[in-house]
Amino acid sequence: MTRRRFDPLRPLRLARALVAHSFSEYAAYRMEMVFWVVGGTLPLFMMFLWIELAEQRATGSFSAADFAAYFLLVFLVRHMTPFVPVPELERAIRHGELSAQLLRPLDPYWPMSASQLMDIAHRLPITVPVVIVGMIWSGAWQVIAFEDWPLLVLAVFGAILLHYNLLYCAGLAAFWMERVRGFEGLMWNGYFVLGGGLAPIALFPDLVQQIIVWSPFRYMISFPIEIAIGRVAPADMWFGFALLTFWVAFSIGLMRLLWHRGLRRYAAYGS
Amino acid sequence: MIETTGLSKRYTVYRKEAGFAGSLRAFFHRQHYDVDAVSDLTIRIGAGEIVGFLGPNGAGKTTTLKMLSGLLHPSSGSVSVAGHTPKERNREFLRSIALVMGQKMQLHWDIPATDSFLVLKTIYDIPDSDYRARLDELVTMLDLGDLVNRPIRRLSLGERMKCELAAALLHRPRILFLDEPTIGLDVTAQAAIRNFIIDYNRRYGATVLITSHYMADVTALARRVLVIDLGRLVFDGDLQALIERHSPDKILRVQFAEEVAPERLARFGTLRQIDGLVAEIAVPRAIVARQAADILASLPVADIAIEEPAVEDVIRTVFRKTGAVGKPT
Repeated sequence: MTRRRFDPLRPLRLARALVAHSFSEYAAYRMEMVFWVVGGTLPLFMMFLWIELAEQRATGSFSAADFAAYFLLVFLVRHMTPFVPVPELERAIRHGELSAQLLRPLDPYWPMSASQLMDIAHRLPITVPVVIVGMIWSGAWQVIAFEDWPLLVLAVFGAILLHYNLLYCAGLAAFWMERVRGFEGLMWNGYFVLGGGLAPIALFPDLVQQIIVWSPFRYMISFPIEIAIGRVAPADMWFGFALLTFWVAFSIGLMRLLWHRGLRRYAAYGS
Repeated sequence: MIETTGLSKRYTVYRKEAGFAGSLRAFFHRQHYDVDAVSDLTIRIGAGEIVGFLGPNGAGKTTTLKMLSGLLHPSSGSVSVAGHTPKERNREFLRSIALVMGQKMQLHWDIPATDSFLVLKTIYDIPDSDYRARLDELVTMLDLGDLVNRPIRRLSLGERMKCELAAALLHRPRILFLDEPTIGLDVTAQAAIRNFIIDYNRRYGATVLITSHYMADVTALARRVLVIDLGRLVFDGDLQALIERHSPDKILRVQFAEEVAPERLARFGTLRQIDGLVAEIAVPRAIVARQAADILASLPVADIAIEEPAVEDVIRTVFRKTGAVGKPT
C-alpha cells in the first residue's frame, strides 16, 4: 500500500478548486442572489425604526448616527453569515444525497464551506455599496472606529465560522431526526434577538446582557459590530475574543462528534 | 480484493397506520421494528473479476454495495475491500473505489460536467498531464464529445450516465461498484455502457461488482454471479452453472418447412409454444442432441437451433424456489 507524502499546498489547491466550482454554481443562479439580498433587508427597517425613536427621545447611549451605523453593519454581517447548511444537510442526509460526497476523499464540510464563502462573496457587490451609501447619507461613518480594523476582521471571521459551525451541527441532527428545521428556527431566534439583530445588546436589561455576553449569539452579530463602532473597552476586548475562541472551538468539537456518531446511523436512503 | 464474512445489516423502521387516527397514535407512540436487509453474507471476489449481483427488488443488493463502499456501517460481520475496512473511509480506500448508482445522479445538475471534473481532479490529486490524458481517454471510450461542456440538466439520461461514469472513473479506481448502471437507458446506450465496462476492466484489471435488472448486462459482462434473496446469499458461482442447475432443459427452436400438428412434437419434449411454422420445445439437456437429430430425420425442418433458456426465466425460477418473488424484505 502506498502512503502519500504530505503536501502543504494541497489545501490551497483544494480551496481554489472548490471555490471555483461554487462560483460556477452561483453563476448559474445569478437572479436568486438579488432576491436573497432584498429579502435580508429587515435590519434596514430596524435602523429606520430606531433612528426615529432616537430622534424623539434618548435611547440609552445610542444616537441616531449610532443606530444607523449599528443596523447598517447588522445588514452587512447578516449577509456575511451563512444560513444554508441546515436545509442542505437535512436534504442530503434524508434523501441520501450525502452518499456522493462520502465516496470522495474529502470531508463534505469543505465543499459546503466553499459554497457558503461563494454565497457571501456574491452578495458583497450589492450589500457593500448599500452600506457605504447608507453610512454617508446618515453620517454614520463618523462613529466607525477605523483604527480597530484588524480586530474587526478577526471578529467577523470568528462570527462567520461560529454561526456556520452551529448551523452545521443543527443540520447534522438530521442523522437522528426526520426534520431539523425546528433547530433552524431556534437558532434564528437566538441569533437575531439575543445576537443583537433586533436591538443593540447594550439596550437590554442588565441581567439579560450578562447572560447574553456568555452565550454564543453575541459573537455572531453584535461583537464585531461593537468593535466597528468602538463600543468594546480594551479590557473587554480580550474577554470577548477569549469567549469567541471558546465557542468556535466548542462548535468544532461538537460538529466532529455529531459527524462521527451520525455516520454510524446514516441509512443512505434514496441512493 | 473484496471479502465479507457474516456481513449483516439491520435497519430499524417505524410502522404507522394510515389515516388521521393512525397519525395521532404514531405521534404519541411509535411502533418500531427491525428489518434484516442483509444477513450473514460471506463472499470473496478476486482482483480483476466482473461479478453480477442478482436478486429481486429489496433483496439487499444495494445495501450490500453501500456497505462495501463504506456508506453504511454493517450491523455485524466483517468487510475488507482492497485491504481496507470500508466504514473507516480511509482516504486510500476512497481513492481505490467508485460507486455508480444508475438511479442517482452525483454530478451537479446545473453546471457542465467539466466543472465537476476539475474539482475531482484536485480532490484525487490527479496531475495536470494525467488529467488531460485520462479525460481524453474517457471522452473517447464513452463517445462524450462536447457533451461534457453542457449543463447536466440539458443531457439525455444516457448522456448523463456516461458523464457519471467518466466522473466516477477519473481517478482510475481499481474497484467498481455499479448499481443498475443501465437502468432506463435505450438498448444502444445500454450496449455502449456495457462495452465501456468491459473495456475498462481489460485495460486496468479493475474488479467490478454490478447489479442490474437487465439480464443482457449480466450475460454480457459477468461469468460469475451472486444471487441474493431476502438478504441471504442463495447462489455464488458460474452463470452457466446457475442456468444448468436451475434449468435442466435446453430449448429446441425449430422452423418447419410446412405446418406440423402439435401432437407430433410431444414425443420430443415439452412443447412451450408454437407460432405458425416456428416451435419451441424444452428438452432435457442429456438428450437434446439426440432429439434434435430425431426431429431433423422425421419432420420437414427448415432450420433448427439449440438454445439456453432465457436467463430471466432461470432467475425467476431461482427466486420462485427460494420463495423470494413478491415478498417484501
